[in-house]
Amino acid sequence: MNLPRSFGPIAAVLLAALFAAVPTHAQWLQWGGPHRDFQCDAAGLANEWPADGPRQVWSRPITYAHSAIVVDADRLYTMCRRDDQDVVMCLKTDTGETVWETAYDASTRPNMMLEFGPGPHSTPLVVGDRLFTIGAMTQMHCFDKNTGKILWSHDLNQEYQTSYLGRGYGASPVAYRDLVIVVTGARGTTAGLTAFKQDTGEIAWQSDPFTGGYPTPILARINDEDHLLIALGMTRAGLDPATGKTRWSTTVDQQSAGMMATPLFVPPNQIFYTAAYGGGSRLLEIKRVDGEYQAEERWHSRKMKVQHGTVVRIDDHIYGSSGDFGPAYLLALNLADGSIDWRERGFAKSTVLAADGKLIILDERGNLALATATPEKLTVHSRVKLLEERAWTVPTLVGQRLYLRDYNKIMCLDLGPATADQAG
Amino acid sequence: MTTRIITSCAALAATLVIAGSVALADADVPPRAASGQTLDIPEKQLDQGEVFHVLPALGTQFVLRNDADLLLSVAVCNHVVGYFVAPFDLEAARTPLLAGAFRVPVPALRVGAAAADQRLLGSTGLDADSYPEITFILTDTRDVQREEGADGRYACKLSLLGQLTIKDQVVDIEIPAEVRRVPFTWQMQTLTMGDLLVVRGSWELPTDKCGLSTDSADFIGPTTAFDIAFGCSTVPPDASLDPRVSRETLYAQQQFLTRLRDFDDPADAYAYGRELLSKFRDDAFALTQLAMLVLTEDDIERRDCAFVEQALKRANELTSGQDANTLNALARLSYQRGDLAGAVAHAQEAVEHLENLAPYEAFPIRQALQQYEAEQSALTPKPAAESAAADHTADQPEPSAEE
Repeated sequence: MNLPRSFGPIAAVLLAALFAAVPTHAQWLQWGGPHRDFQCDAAGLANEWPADGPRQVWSRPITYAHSAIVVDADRLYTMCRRDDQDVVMCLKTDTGETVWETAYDASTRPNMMLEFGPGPHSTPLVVGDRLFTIGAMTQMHCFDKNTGKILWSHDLNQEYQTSYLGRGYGASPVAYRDLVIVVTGARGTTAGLTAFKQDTGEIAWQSDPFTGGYPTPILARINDEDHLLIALGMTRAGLDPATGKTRWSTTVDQQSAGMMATPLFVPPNQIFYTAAYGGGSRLLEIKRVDGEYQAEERWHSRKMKVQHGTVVRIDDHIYGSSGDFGPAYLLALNLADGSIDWRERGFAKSTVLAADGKLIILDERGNLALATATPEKLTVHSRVKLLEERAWTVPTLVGQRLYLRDYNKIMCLDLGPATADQAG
Repeated sequence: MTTRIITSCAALAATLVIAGSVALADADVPPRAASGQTLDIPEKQLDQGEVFHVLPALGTQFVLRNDADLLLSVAVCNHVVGYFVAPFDLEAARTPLLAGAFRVPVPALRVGAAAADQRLLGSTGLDADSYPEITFILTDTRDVQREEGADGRYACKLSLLGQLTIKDQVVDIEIPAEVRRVPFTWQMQTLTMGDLLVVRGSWELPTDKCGLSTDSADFIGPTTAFDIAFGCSTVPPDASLDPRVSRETLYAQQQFLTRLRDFDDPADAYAYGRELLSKFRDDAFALTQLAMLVLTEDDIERRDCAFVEQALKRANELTSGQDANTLNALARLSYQRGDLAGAVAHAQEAVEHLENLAPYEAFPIRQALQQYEAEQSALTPKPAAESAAADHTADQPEPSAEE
């Protein structure tokens, strides 16, 4: 930041105040976690687990959804499906007891492709006292997070022609200042994104038209400006999150249009994208030339193709699970050129989190593992089967507590060092 | 030895000789996996590279050709099961194939004429009862020439060295071959949802090395030629892409199909099938799928309608006559039995229950109803007056554009 010297102390105070307002890392308030990159600042995690897995703090039944879990202090929020209704749930983090539930009708439409279930696929967002959710049928709600009372709603399909995407809406809402930004596109004919005021639900801006899509946008700071990074259809673009204006945009190949995984920002100015169905991975570099932003592709490789899982960056490598309908491999991808340093065949299609120098891996068959990834190899320290087939929801780690779910149950695990009783 | 003329798809192709000979691991041909439609690939090979499974019935897979003075016999099998391991990095590996093997179910090898099939598969021929499979295992490759491709595609000419086993005779063979690798594109999704590897080759053997009697030169030529043309995918044929079908269920269904279709053993297959009817007695979806396999799969010699009826009766009970897939299968059963009115009635019911199906599932059900109705209409005698009017109309000149 380029400030006059006399402003330095003031700026320091302002910055301190600003950061004080940013949620502490004992929370996981949004898709992707505190930094929107599936990294968390947990410390003191056990280096290995007992044979039957980490200590289970609690477990309880839940019904179908892919919606991930967000945690705010002693409450967690997620979504599930019951009959023709979406249910937004608030549970106590210590016990899993229900604090409140709010259900609303969300009948699916004829001719949808629902063999993977009717959703919800999107993950809630907590900002202050509000909770924002979007169901598979594009019903968006703002709740009082303490009571479950609906404060305002939008039916994105009815109001903005937002696409159900055949299998149900899946992108998660993103908070920016006093706005909540959501994907509202459909076949590139309607506003690709819409920002609502968090307090009233009024429209603050609508972007250029973009097609709909599953990847949740992420926020990044590039060239000292905020960018909302989107990957919708064949468009990869950066928007000004305050106004919705497109700062830069580029088009990728048709095979990459089926991208579902969340883009990953690589400071100071690179973005990693990965797509299944033959799309592969690419690294874009964003530059500002003569006042205009430009996206330049550093490399594109078909060797890593992540379907709907997550990836994490540790130093100059990306770690994640590559594969769609065939076998999956955990890979170490070198960001410098997209080359693959190792492949590990031992897991089905997986989601990954990074914390405390370790990887937490959950494969779709319900195997949870603790591992260490380096550019040279993957070392698996512990592995235990805890969930059932199609455990597609990425776990949530807050402190040493891991929250995870499948279509039937939700649970909380303690990933701290085992007690003497447990070790014995 | 036959040499296949390989057509290069790339005018700009640069041909590189990247290896003289790359020795591969020698091993037995892996057995069939639980589904019967893939092989149990050794663990060490799984780590070597990307596995491409032979896809059945994409096209002609295995051809045996014998040209005698009086008879030309061309037998085809489209139900080969096998795999090839391709390197993750072609440059480093210096060969496009690191391992591979395939099994040809002999009973599925057909000339297409009953007498010829009997001669080929009978005891003086390949003796399918005693030797139900022809197998091949890749032991080496050499003379690899790579043609550069674009967008992740490449092609290589090479020689495949390996052991072919026919009627327990093991023959070392060399197959001039071509390997093409094509990354998945949306245009390929009707073939496979994975990357594609095409392996093609041709070779010849003295007929007596194939276990065929050469007593009569009039009917059996001294040389027998073989072709392989495998489309192979990273997505195995026994992968369950529909979440409603568990792996266990799919494997069981494919094992049933392997016995019924590939090894043409209806007694064994339907005995196993009846075990499955019991196992899946509470799973309407699995029962309906099993019935549809019997009704619709190609190359099944004996379609047991009583077996299908038993499966569908239970499925229809479980779904209270409300499931479009089951009703559609009942329509197909009626059609199989020549009951067009029944087929139309069931298909109409099926179309009334499409609301929960995806478009790709609903479309063939509507299409089936149209087919049954069209066939029924064609068979229904027209009233005399209507028929005469139609005849009269047919005699009239075409109306002019002005009219």
